[in-house]
Formats: sequence, structure tokens, C-alpha cells
Amino acid sequence: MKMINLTSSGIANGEGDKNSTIKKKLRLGPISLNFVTIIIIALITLFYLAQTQIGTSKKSQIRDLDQRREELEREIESLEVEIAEIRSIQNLKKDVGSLNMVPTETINYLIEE
Amino acid sequence: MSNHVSSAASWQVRLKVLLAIFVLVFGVIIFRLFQKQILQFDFYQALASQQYTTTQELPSSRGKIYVKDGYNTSHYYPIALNKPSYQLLAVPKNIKDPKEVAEKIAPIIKKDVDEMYDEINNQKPYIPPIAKKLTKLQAEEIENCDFEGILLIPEEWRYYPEGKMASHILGYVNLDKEGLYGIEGYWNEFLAGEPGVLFGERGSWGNIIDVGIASSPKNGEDLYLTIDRIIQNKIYEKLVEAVKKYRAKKGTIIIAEPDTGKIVAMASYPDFDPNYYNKTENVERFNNPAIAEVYEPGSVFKIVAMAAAIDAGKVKPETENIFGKCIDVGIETVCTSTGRAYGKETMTQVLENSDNVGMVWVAEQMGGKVFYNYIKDFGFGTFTEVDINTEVKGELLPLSEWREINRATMSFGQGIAVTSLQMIGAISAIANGGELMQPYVVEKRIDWEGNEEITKDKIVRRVISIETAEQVKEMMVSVVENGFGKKAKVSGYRIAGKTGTAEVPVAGRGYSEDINIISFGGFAPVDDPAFAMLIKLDSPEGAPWSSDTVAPLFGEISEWLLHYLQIPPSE
Repeated sequence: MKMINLTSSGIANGEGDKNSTIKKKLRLGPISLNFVTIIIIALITLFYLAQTQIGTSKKSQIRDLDQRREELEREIESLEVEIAEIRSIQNLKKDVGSLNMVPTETINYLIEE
Repeated sequence: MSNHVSSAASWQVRLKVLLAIFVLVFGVIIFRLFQKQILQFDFYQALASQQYTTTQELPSSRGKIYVKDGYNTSHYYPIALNKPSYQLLAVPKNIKDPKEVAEKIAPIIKKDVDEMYDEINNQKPYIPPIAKKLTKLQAEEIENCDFEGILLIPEEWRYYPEGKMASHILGYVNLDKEGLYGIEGYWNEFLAGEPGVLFGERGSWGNIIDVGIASSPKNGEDLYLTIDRIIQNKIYEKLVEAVKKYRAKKGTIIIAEPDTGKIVAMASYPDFDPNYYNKTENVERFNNPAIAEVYEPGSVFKIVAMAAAIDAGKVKPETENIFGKCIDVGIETVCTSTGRAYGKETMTQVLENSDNVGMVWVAEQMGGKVFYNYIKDFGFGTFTEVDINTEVKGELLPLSEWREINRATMSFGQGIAVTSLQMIGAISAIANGGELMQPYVVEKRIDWEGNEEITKDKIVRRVISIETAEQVKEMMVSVVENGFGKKAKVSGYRIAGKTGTAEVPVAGRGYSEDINIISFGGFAPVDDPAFAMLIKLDSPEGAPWSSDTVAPLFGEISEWLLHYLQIPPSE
């Protein structure tokens, strides 16, 4: 068995027969060209679909987050209503009634001179 | 051979026929394509768009309404806001076991089981909402039941935490989210905001494959009012008490800041609860009586006539004359309300005694035209343009229709119909040194982007000079110190006021002897008026005098108000 070294140029160093060479001219016939074109188109389509899918998925996520925000806003509004009820005069009057407060009889004013 | 030729010819003919048919069909197709794609492009595009896209309205949130109080002037309290809730919908044809659904859900929504069963036991695709204004807790309970054909839709409804307290100022919002009456009606466009639009693309199975927002909703503007909730509550309580005590048909109290035109409090009774407006049987009750109802003001109007005569240089506070019990005006006779002849009086005493005969003389000194112009300048017979819905402009007879008797009766507030707001506007003008201010209730608006719009105080016009205003103020103080308004006095403070006990006109029968309208208008403290107030009670039982009823009430509220506003006594 003979060992040969192949170089990038495909030239064999040393002795022995040269059965084949790496440097072979690539020829694209009409069928290959069609095949390559179809693959490229398929890849572009796939890429487009993937991007669209990612976009749709992102939009869907944004929509979900929007819905979550809306829910939180409703929670905030509910809490605002509760606060308004607690701080309303009508509610304070009920609380004051139980405190047995008496009206002020004399008021003294401190006047700045 | 001939057969072969004949066969070839036949084939040629067939080919030509086929070709002709093909060309014809192709032509028709081209024509139809041209027709549908070019000529009817818009129609088919819209049709296709409907099939692959869907839109949904994104509701905007209604702006809130805030008030403040004197204890914490930098803090505002919501007086109208949106309460999140849920609406319960049912699709009866999708409900498998209506009986079970009714039995489980009816108790949660506090509805009769049989009634609910009757509503959902059919094959309809849609029925009106089964329940509205459900709480989150109720919604969660329903959701846990997990019934097919039962849907919960989030909704918002207008909520007024103070209930009836300021109902006539606020108005209400109906089920169509439309603001009616009061602030809700006047500012509806600003409060409502603009809804947004959400669009979605449908897949071939009708499912939504993509969503986007075509336009975001713009929430309504928040309104900040000049109303002080503590004062509003106080006058509301006092008014209800007074109406019940004197068995009056109705009543109104307004408090305003004379130098700005701000309405600080405005209450009328009977009223309504804006949270349950649909339970109000009489729709007239939604109108704010302070701006939508007119009355003959009676003797309170004497300050307008006197101010006009002094400003026109016809009389002075110290001008004297002798007045009898009655005076003839053309074929009519006008008498004092007490049936007493006051004799020699100064103009100040004419006001102190509320002398009708004296006022007829004052109006005579002015003449009709001068008097009419002052009445107009004080804001009567025209809209005040206050920012609350359903204002009326009152009734002032055109000068061309004035007879001698009209001039005479108007001098003591009969024969002219005014609104309570117009009356307090005129009182405020005197308190404010003669300048009439534009009344308003909304002092600030903030839109959804945070932009602020602050209402500026506006002088409508100068009605009388500062000197005249000062003179009339002192005359009004004298009414409280020495005249019929004594019971309005507050110890340590100088209060200006005027009583009014007006007769009520009855259609075609002159004036009623059984019913009257009692009122008291004034301001305090006189040297630097912090507030002007008008109290009015309609048809109190037994037709009492203003001096014994609303005058002491004026004093009581004034005393409380002076302490609340932390105004030290001057005497």
C-alpha cells in the first residue's frame, strides 16, 4: 500500500498513481439549478414563516401581557373604590358616631402680628 | 383516400370549434376577472377583509370626578369613579342542564331559581344579560362552576361613594354610559374619552392567528371640582333637617366664593341617589333646582334695587323720606308686608324693615330703564353659563313691556323669576366690590396624557362701583344688626344679609296666600368676604317668615363655616 499526500491543489507528492483529484470543476446543469433555486426559495419561505411565527408569538405574548395589565388595572380600580368608600364622609360619619365626640364650645385663635 | 381526407377535414373543423369554445370560455373568464377584480374591487376587498379580519372596540375608561376639603387642601377625594364588575351572559342553546345551572348560579347572583331557569330553558342563541354589577367574588364563584354556555364579561359602572350628598351637582351616567344632568351631563364628552380599536386576522378555520391594536383607547379626562366635601356635607345635612323641620316642599342652599366665582357647595332637597337613579320615579328630580328652577326672590332682591339706585346716584344710604302703609301705583296698590306704616326712614332703614313702599319709591327715583339695565348687569334674565347641565335663564320681562306696576313690584322682588344661582351671583357681586364673577364648578381637568387645564377666574363685568358696593354692604350689615335679619348674627363677626319672604304666583289667580318661598342671602365676614350664601325653602308649612326660619339657619351655618375656614372674629 502506497501512501500519498494530497495537497489543496490536488497534486500528489511522492510516487504512485494519481487516480483522482479534489480539484474538479463544479458544473450546474439546468436540473441542478432548478433544484438549488427551489431549495433557496424553500429556505426563504421557511425563514419568512419562522419570522412571522415569532412575530405572531410575540404579539400574542404582548396581548397576554396587555390582558394581565388590564386585570391589574381592574384590581387597582377595585382598591380605589374600596379606599373611596372607607374615606367617604358617609363612612366617616358612622365611625365618628361610635367615638362619642362632643362639639367644640370655645375656639381660641392665635393671630400672627 | 376520400375517407381519409374527409376525416382530416372533420378533425380540422372540430379543432376550430374547440378553439372557438376555448377562446369564448377564456374570454368570459377574463371578462369576469376584470369585472370582479377591477370594477368591483372595493366590494370584494371589503368582503375578503371581513372574512380574514375581525375588529373589536376597546372601551375607554370614564374620567373620575374629585373634590377636596379644607383639612387637606392638597388631597382630592373621588366623588365619582368606575367600579369594576361583571355581567353574566348565557347562551341557552349551549347549556346542557339548565336546571342544574339555575340551581347553582341563581343563589350566587341572588336571583330566584325558577325565574333564572325560565330564562335559560330554551334554544335561543342570545338572551339579555342575566345579571349585572356582579362583584369579583361572585364572578369567581360562577367561574368555579365551569358551566358551558355561561359567560362572564368584565364591565364598569359609575359609582358615587358619597351617595346623595352631591347628586344635583353630579348628575348620573345611564346604562349606555352616557352622562346626564349635572357635571356628568355637561362634561360628558370630556369624561367619556375615545374608545380604541383592536383588530385580529383569522386563519382558514376562523381562529384568530394575529392581533394588533389599530388605535389605543383614550381615557376620559379627570375633573377636579371647586366643591369642598365637608361644607357640602354640612349644608346637605342642614338642608334636609330644615326641609323636614318646616315641612317645606323643597329647599336649596348654595355657598360661593365671592372673589372667584367658585361654587363651594350646592345642595337641594328632595334629591336622588345617582347610584340608583333608575329608582327615582319623578324624573324632574334629576334637574338641579339651584339652576333649573326659577322663583320670585322677594325681599332679598331689594339689595339689587337699592344697589342700582345708589350706583345711579338717585339715593344714598342716609337719604330720608316718609313712607306710608300703602302706595298707589297706577290702578294697583302696594302695601308693606307687615301692614305697618314705617313713616320717616333712611334707605338703610328701608332695607332693615324690608319696606315695600319705600322700595317702590326708590325704583321710581331710578326709572324703569335704569333699573332694567342694572337688573340685566347683575346677571338676571341671562344664563350664568355655569358648567352644570340644565341651566335656565329665568324670566325678566322685556323693558318694552314694562308698566309702572312692574317697576314697582320688581323693586321688592316680585314679578321677576330668577334662579338661586343668579341670586347668589348678585349677592356675591356686592360682596366682591361690585364685580360680577363667572360661577364655575370644575377648577381643573387632567387628560389621559397628564395635561392640565386650569379654569381661570373670570370677571363678567363691573356692575356697581366699589363705593356703592361698600355702602350696600354696610346697609346689609345693618339689616343683620338692627333689622329683620337679627337671627343671622354670629357673635364676634360682621355678617351682611337680607331676608326674603316671597309670595308664590298661581296661574291666573294672582298670588297664593297660603304658600310662600322664604330665603336669606348674605356673606361674611363683611370686611373680606370668604363666602356668600343663599338659603331658600319652598312652601314651608304655615307660611312662616324668613326672619324666624332661614335667618337663624344662615347664622348657624355661617358660624360653623367661619370656624371651619379658621377665620378669627373681628369684634
